[in-house]
Amino acid sequence: MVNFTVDEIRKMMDKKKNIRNMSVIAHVDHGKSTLTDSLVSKAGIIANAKAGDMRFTDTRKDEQDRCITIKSTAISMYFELADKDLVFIKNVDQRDPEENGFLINLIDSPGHVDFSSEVTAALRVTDGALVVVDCVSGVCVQTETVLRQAIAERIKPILFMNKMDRALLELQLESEDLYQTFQRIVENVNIIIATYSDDSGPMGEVQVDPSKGSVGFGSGLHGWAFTLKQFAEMYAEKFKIDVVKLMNRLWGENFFNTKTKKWAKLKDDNNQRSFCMYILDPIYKVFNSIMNYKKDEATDLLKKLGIELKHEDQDKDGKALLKVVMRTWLPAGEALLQMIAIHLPSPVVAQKYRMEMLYEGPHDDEAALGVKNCDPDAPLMMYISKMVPTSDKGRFYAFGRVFSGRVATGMKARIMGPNYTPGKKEDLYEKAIQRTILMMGRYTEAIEDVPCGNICGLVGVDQFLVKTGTITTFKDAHNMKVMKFSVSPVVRIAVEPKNPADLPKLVEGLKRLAKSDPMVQCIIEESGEHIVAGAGELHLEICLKDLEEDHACIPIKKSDPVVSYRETVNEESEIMCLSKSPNKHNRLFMKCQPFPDGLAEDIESGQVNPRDEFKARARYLGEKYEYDVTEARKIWAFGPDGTGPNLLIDCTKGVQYLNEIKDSVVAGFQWATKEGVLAEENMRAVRFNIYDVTLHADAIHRGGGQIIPTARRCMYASILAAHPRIMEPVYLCEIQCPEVAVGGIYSVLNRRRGHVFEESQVVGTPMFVVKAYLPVNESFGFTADLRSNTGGQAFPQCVFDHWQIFPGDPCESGSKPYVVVMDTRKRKGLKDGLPDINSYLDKL
Amino acid sequence: MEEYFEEIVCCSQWIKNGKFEKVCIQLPDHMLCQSVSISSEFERLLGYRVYILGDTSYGSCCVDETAAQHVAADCVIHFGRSCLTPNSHLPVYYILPKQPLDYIQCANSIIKTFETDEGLVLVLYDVAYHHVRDNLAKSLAPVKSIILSDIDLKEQNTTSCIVSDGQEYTCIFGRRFPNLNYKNIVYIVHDNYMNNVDRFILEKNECQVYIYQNSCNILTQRTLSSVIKKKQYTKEKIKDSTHIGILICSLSIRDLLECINRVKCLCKKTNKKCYIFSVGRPNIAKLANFPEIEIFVNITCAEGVIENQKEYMQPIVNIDDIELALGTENTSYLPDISLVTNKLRNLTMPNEEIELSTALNVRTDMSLSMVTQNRTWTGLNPHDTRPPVLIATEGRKGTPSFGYITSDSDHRS
Repeated sequence: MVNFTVDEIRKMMDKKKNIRNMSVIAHVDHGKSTLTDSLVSKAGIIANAKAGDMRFTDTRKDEQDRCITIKSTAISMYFELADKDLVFIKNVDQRDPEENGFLINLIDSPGHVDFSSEVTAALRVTDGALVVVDCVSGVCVQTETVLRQAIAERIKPILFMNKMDRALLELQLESEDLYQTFQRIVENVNIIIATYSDDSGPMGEVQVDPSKGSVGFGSGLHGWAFTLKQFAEMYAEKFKIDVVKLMNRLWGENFFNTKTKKWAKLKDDNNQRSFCMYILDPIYKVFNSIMNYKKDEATDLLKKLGIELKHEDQDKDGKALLKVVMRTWLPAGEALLQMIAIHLPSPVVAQKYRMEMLYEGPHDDEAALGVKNCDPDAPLMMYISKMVPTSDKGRFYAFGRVFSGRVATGMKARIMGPNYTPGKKEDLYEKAIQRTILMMGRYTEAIEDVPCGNICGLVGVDQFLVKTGTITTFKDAHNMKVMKFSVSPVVRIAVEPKNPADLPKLVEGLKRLAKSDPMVQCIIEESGEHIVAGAGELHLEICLKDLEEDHACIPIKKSDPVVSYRETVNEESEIMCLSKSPNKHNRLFMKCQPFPDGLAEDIESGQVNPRDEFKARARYLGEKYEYDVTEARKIWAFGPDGTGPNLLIDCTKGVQYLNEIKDSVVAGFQWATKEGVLAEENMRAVRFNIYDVTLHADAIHRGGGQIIPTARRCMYASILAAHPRIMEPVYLCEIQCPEVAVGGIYSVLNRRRGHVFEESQVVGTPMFVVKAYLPVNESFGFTADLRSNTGGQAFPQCVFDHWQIFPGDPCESGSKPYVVVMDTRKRKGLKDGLPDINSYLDKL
Repeated sequence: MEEYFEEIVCCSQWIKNGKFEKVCIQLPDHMLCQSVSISSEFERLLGYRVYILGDTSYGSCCVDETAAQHVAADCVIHFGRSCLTPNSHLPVYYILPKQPLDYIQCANSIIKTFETDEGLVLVLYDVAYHHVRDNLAKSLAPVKSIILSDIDLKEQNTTSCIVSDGQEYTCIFGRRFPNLNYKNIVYIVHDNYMNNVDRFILEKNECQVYIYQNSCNILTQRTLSSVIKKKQYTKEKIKDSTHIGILICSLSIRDLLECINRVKCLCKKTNKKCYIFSVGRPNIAKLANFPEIEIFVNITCAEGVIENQKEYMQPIVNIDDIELALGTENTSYLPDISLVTNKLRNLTMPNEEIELSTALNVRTDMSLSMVTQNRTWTGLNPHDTRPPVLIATEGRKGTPSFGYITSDSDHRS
């Protein structure tokens, strides 16, 4: 631990080239928090003596109890790079020539998929990511998800292979097998990176490479780690080879023949892989001698390796001794911090290429340039990525990153929420920042001001933001882009107070909860039910616990979890649907049809969106989805809410006054897609075509009042004529288990309408990975069910993947989707029974 | 006709006593066929002609004072179901409809249900059963804890509390009953006229409310938890809105102007824009002409209800919903999260708007014109780009072979 005063930290903050903002990301249980501990114990900055506990970054009691990270937590570290290592930093923007010390702001993030939103929020404020992979289980689904997100946000990754102790002690892998495992993980990671980015991009080299030192190996639990650099340094003198050259030799297809002293590119009988020989062999020897209690051999070995044990450690043996030896020999903190300082970008470097991804406004205005150059004298630009509860109930620290300028206690700034548009007053507040604070694990420390490139918390702005926002001093600044989450809130629970009189407290609590979590949605439905929607069961469980204990502080009744559905159609409308306006003077002719596969996802991801230039969009739709380009140019609207995955397309030819009623038809379309005909759920993946319109010649008779309800009715009719369907959310479910448990998994999945699409063995281990699609609706209690059917050996990770049509016809009474529709209608207090098409259809 | 004969006689006596000269008879649509016989009966008794009011502009339960004023009427005789809403100035004589009620059976069921119950029971009844009130009172008399309400036809009291015979009486929705601490309420309903019942439930939410239906002769408890729950949503919706439409659905409410002013005042306090709409009897097409309005407040009588509200584009709420949502608005001027949209509600602080300078400032416009600017259709040629119309001037003269002469010069080309 480094003992720093706030002033010293503040001084470091100015040396923006020596700052590293990084997050630790990984699959659940791959050892992020434990690894972070070993870093914190080495370099964590503490303002006073408060340190030394385990899982330093797990600040909540339930996190400690469950041994699972729920909220991402930031800590700052200080690390000085030795002079000999400084040569590895070649970019001038990566280091202040006068400064050897580095300020590392690390954010430990949760690994469970349900808390992916926390990862997203962490990635936004950092520039680099330490990807931790358990070398026993390899690259898992969540590793891929978070890595993909990191690349999309232009976060540079470095890799750490964790849990080497398990590979050695439990699996007893041969050194060549272990090398192959490492090799495969590096490859897998690089494949993912290559899919979403390439080395010629603005980030420069993104791929990880052990021979360059951007991959670390070790054990977070035992506190040791190394990169090839460490070993290369040990051997460099002996071999009289340059460290960099040697690092290249120590990885990949490089074999050394001890007799002829020759390097070779191919394996033959007399040579050995250099990685195994020079790196793994010594480690294996240490492990062997200590774990097999060969005291003499061990003492010998220690002398050779130059490890001197402290007096009190000399009496230890077995695992305890092994830990001490390895820790002294290859201290984790040293290796990792070097890797971070050398390979991760400084804000100066990162913001140059991240600006265009971060800023919504023109790329040459003052704010954009300030971000791009990481200029402390430019106007302030700060992004608030999440809210952290304070000890004061209902109040939050706004946590974020200063990208440009500096934020200071007492300064007046513009607080812009996600709905702010430049020039308007919506979602904009001008307020003074009460206090700027440093956030270090569970402790906070007031600080006068924070310059760009740093992460900090603000007091007093929480009331003017919901979850995220932009803080600026530049009057014409646009927003920083909102974060895109990889998960969606598809699981919902209705809550009500046990005592009805507590309702106002519940409402207040829900509002607080909505703030405290980047993803959760707290809404009230039209029926008056209070709904909490989250990514999964665990996420909801934690949210509801927080609601009950921290935010509302009242006992709460919870309903069973339900999922939200979408309404769609299966075919094109069988008939041309006609609806007449109430005055019978206007007629609309429409049909609807389902989207081709992929279009709805394209709209949701923003690939196709209402702000696109219409010709380019039409060309894209024409090429990819074979839409008629002339029709695709006449997309009137996206809906619901103007952006949703349904389209209204004008397919008419030469209709008089058509542009006059466009707004009214669009209003009807927004209404119909927001509240579908079956159960008033949102619509999805439906294209509405207007084929003909006859209008009264007198404008007064074709006003909004005549057209809006008619358009809605006509759309309802066209849906009912097009085989309406219900869509349900589906999880991608990854289950790791031993071979014996696979049968149990299949039987559980079958019962729950899930289907397996991939099953493979993790090479080099007896573990199997089963990947399956599982309807979210069927996933409640899945984890427990799976455990009991596999003797507790299978552990699933479920993440929302896509929407799929609920098999069956919702119009046929007795079918499963019919039951879903009826239940939903009942819950919403709608009329019993499905609406009849004839109530929407008119005769010519 | 025959069933009302007695009332008509009484009524004509009332008219004579009041010395009313211009008399209007207001009939609901289903009774218009009897209008001739009723009016001729009146004319026979009074000796002068009376006016018939049909096709009321709002609900037929309200007295159509506006129509009566067209003939400068002195009084109105109201036939059919009545909401008993106090009207503004005309004297009204109500002739209520009569529906058969087996009052003995009814009284027995009520007595049986509350025999063992110590608490006070208030019995309310539909206007259609007013004619059997005395019989019902007799049948219920043995049990002291059961109190039968009365319908206050003549005394149009504005105050909700009156004192007579040393007993305090409460008057709500046209019903008068002693002001006591009731535990249970029984409402004898006719058909599906539940709106009035619901209002009582909301008003007296500390009581258990039972309804008695003549057709099935049992008491069933009615709770409005779903309605009350829905009001939570309505409340959030109202708080979210910035444009509120005040929809006038009845003109003959005595406190109409006070109601409108109250809504206006609440809107102003919470910085919302409000507009008054008087569109006659509202329907879907009429209200959909104003898509920019987010909420309509329905100002109407106790029984005025808008059918199939789901089909309307905007939620239509009652004045008490507005009062509930905006009346207790916190005044801390801190933005609040909406539970409908999960966004911050934009509370522009009124005192912050006026900055301490004398320079002209752009007002944050919340009026509809801002919203309507987003429309793509803004009317015929709003920005006419064609060249302006000019007065015709003399052009060139001539033929191609001889050349042209322009008017301002003799230049030949």
